[in-house]
Amino acid sequence: MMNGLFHGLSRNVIVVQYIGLVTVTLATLIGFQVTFGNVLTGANLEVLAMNMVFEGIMALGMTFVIIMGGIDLSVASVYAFAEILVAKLMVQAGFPIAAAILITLIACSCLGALNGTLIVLFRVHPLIITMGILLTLRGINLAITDGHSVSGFSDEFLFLGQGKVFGVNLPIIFFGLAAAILGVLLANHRYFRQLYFIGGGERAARLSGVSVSRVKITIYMLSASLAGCAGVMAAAKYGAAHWAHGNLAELKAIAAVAIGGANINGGSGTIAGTVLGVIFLAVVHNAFVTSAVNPFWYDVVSGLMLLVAVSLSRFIALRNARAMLGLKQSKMDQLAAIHQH
Amino acid sequence: MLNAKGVSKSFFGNKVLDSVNFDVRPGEVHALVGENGAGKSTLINIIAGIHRRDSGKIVFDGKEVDFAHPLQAMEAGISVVHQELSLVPSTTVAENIFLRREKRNGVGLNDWRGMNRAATDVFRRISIDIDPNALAGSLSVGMQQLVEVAKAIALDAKLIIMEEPTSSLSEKDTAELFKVIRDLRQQGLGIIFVSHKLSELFTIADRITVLRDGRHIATEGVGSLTRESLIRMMVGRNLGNLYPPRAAAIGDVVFKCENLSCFGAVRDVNFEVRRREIVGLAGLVGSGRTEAMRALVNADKRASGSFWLDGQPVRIEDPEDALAYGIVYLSEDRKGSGLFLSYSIAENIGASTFDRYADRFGFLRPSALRTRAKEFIKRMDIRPPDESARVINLSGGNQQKVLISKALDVNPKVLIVDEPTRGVDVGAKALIHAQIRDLAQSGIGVIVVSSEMPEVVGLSDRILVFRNGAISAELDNQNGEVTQETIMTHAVYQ
Amino acid sequence: MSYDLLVAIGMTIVLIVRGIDLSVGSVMALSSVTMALLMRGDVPVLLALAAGLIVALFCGLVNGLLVVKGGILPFLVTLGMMSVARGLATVVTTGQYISFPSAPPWFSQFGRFEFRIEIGGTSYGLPLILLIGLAFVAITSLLLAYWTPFRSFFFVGESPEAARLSGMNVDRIMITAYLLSALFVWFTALLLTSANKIGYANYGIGAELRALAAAVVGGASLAGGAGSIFGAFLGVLMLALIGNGFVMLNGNPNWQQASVGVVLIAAVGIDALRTYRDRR
Repeated sequence: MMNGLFHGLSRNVIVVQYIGLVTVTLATLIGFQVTFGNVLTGANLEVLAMNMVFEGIMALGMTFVIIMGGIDLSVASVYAFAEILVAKLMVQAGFPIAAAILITLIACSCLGALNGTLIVLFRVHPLIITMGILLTLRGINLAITDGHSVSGFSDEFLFLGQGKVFGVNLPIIFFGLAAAILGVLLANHRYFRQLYFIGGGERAARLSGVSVSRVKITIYMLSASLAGCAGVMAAAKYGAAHWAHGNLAELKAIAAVAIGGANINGGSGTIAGTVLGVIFLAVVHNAFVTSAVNPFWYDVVSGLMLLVAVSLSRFIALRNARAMLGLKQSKMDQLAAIHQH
Repeated sequence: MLNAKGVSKSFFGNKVLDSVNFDVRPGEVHALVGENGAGKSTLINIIAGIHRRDSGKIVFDGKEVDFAHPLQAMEAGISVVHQELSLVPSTTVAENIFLRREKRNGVGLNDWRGMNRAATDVFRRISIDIDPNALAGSLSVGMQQLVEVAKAIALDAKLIIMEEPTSSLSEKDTAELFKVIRDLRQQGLGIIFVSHKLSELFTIADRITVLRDGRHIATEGVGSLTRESLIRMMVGRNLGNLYPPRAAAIGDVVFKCENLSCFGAVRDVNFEVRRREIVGLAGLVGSGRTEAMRALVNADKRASGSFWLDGQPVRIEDPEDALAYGIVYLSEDRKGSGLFLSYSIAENIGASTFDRYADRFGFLRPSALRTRAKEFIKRMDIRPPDESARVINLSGGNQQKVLISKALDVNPKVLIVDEPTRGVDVGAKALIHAQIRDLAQSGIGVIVVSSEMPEVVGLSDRILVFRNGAISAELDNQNGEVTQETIMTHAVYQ
Repeated sequence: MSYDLLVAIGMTIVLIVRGIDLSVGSVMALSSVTMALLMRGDVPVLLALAAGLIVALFCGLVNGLLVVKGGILPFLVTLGMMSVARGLATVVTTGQYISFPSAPPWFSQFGRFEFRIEIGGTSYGLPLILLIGLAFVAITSLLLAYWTPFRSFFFVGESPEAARLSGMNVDRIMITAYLLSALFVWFTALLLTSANKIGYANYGIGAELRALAAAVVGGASLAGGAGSIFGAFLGVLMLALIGNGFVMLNGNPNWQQASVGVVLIAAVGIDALRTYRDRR
């Protein structure tokens, strides 16, 4: 099983990239610890983790979407929608916790199905469709709450966001478990392995018998469901649901996936990489907070990181193309040399 | 094992296959040859279930078949190794081989060890040594080609179709592939082998079938064929008087190119073009003809090259520079990189010369453009004769005429036309040929790149044959005496 | 609505060359706070405005260069820029409103200036910025239709490769499109800053989405080569009207935002059905 978990990971290129990412992350941590001395404390580590955990959960789903050559901008508003829906169901409609959560998650996966279906049906770039859903849903979120936050949760519900098991916050445990399970599935389950083939070449995948449309729809459902889970826990963590929560979360999720080494055009990426990307963003964010450097730098840095990550993957692709040409050139030279006489 | 009788297929009213007969026996390598456009790929696509035939009968393994989808063909035991590789670089070799037929372990996850073992078995069967756990992207092109073959074998294919499998392989990889093919033949599989490289056919094939213009010309055992007879069958057609008469007097050198190279595509190409001359560039697809012309205008970055126009050295850093000197390159990819499909005929004709139809502040004078477009429509006989018609709705021949008009509006000194008559019907072909000759007569140096040898022979005053990225022969054709056989002998390695 | 209109004009131009500019809202904020901070520091108004322009154009240039020379997908480049510009705007203002009491009064007046029109005894206000917006619609429409440098946007977007072989400088044209978008963004920032008398790092949130929706509704395509300024104007108008319709229907102004997304999806849906029919 362990062998399986790291399947596709034991490769030089990827490993070098991961080692690089880990090194930079550790260097940032240690650097700020040495300079400011308040980074590696239990309390701060908790803050650090909780700051990115919801975006991290969304990034897990985004990994699947990006591998198959898609993109899902709507996660941010699905997340806020889940917050609001679960809150309204419990507080205003009086549903029991479990029922409210279940209904919320089903609603979210329906939103994902809507994303997927429209993308398959209209054959337009997923960017447009998911952006449309992002906008619509954000508007709905705003409208159904009138811009106010919804609160008044029971302690049992709050436990989902604030509670700890063995001293670890529940959302972090969820993130870890989800990452482990999804990581194993993505690496080892035939259904999810199809994503690499769809992202690598949709036509070839279709010719090999992959039912592209169906897979696409289920993956958008997965992405939306994870955003829903994040939203439910966020409502519990903040003790309130608010329409503006999760603004720009889609950007952070995409950045984490890109930093984790996935090809944004599809065909490659791993959950392990995404987790490293999430941790990296969390550390950088935290570094700016604890260092008393103006914490507003955070957006600047995450934007820059996104640009650096995609530039890097572009650079690698160019180098590979160049290497292919070199191969062709040497083959040509070889042929010419053979037939010289 | 496979017997196709009277297979026909038309695309948009164009008959590309005309009652072709073709059969494959178990344990043989049957080569399918013919010029570009002879109908090889259509026949293969029909056998593999990618296209459906219009008429005819195909019997495979004793049953009549009519595949609606490539999957059905695969299940029946027919696999295609396409020319372009389809492996996904970030996945393992074994995974590519077993896509959609993965082995699972007890909990339903992929059984990597089992798949690797099974892949190893397949590799052992064809005596090659590839790590099934390696990433597909880390393999050389040759190795990837072998993995594609392994994929077909793992599907229990009885018939494997290989489309130009050696086109991107080195000699060593080709030898390796041939070893595998011989193994498979030994094991009783049937193999259809499509290749341009004649020398390979004599090494590997048992029988050879020649197609030409969608018709079956001959099927013969390889022993009863010679290179010459094969070439004759491939190209032999009556040229008649389809082509315009040749130039009266060829002028002096208008353009000279020296030491043109492009990394991975073109090696040290030197040539000259004279006024009133049509130079034909012949050679197989991928031999560097098109690549050289694209590198000339620096549409693809070249490694080296010096150029002289009318005896003066010129610097061509991009197509914009080339146009400014009056050197125009018309792409073979008419729709993708030649025309602006959703725009009107007039706008396409003026695309390179917009400034000429604008006042001194840069504002367009649509009437001037329309007038000019009308002239061209008349001169080139473009149909429909409506300058505001969208180019996407035009036939291939008329699109080509628009493209040439666009080039003419630049008042070129050197015109490079890549595949001027690809996808153009016979009538329009003759017209385009006549117009190209007219252009040359008006004093332009014309370069025609073409995969169609009759066109090269019929049209050109001089022929440059490309092979392996370089010019392998320069043939004087002022008397029209160069034969297609001669070109072919220079286009392939002997 | 006038603000959206100006941004949508720029967005349409970028869409025509096969690009997309998600950074418009953030660059608007950055440009606005630049101008406000400089004016607060008693820099002459025109100099401050020029600085705001330079900041906006610089962002546009970086976008264009990364897309064209770096070969990175436009949506990723501008998504990154969206974050960076917004972040910088927040950093320099620490999220505060930036007022500029010492700036000359004319500056804070022209953004709110209205022409008064008397019709049947009632006085209607015709905002200057609406007139400016309409003027820009007319001018850019005209330029895109007849002015050769602008005309080439369409050719580049329809087929970059064909445009290159036709002698157009595709790289420069694409970068120009991003610069134009930045120019319109700066102008919007200027009007916003003037009208509200403050610079603020949260200006223009969601502006990119509204502009994109308006442009796509107005006939622009992500595949490039198509788009019309007048169409974008109708798109903006339609978004505003439908938004108002929502409000009137159920009295809740908050529904307006949702309508933008619905209109966007409906527009691409109709477009998809149309091309689907064409294909058959």
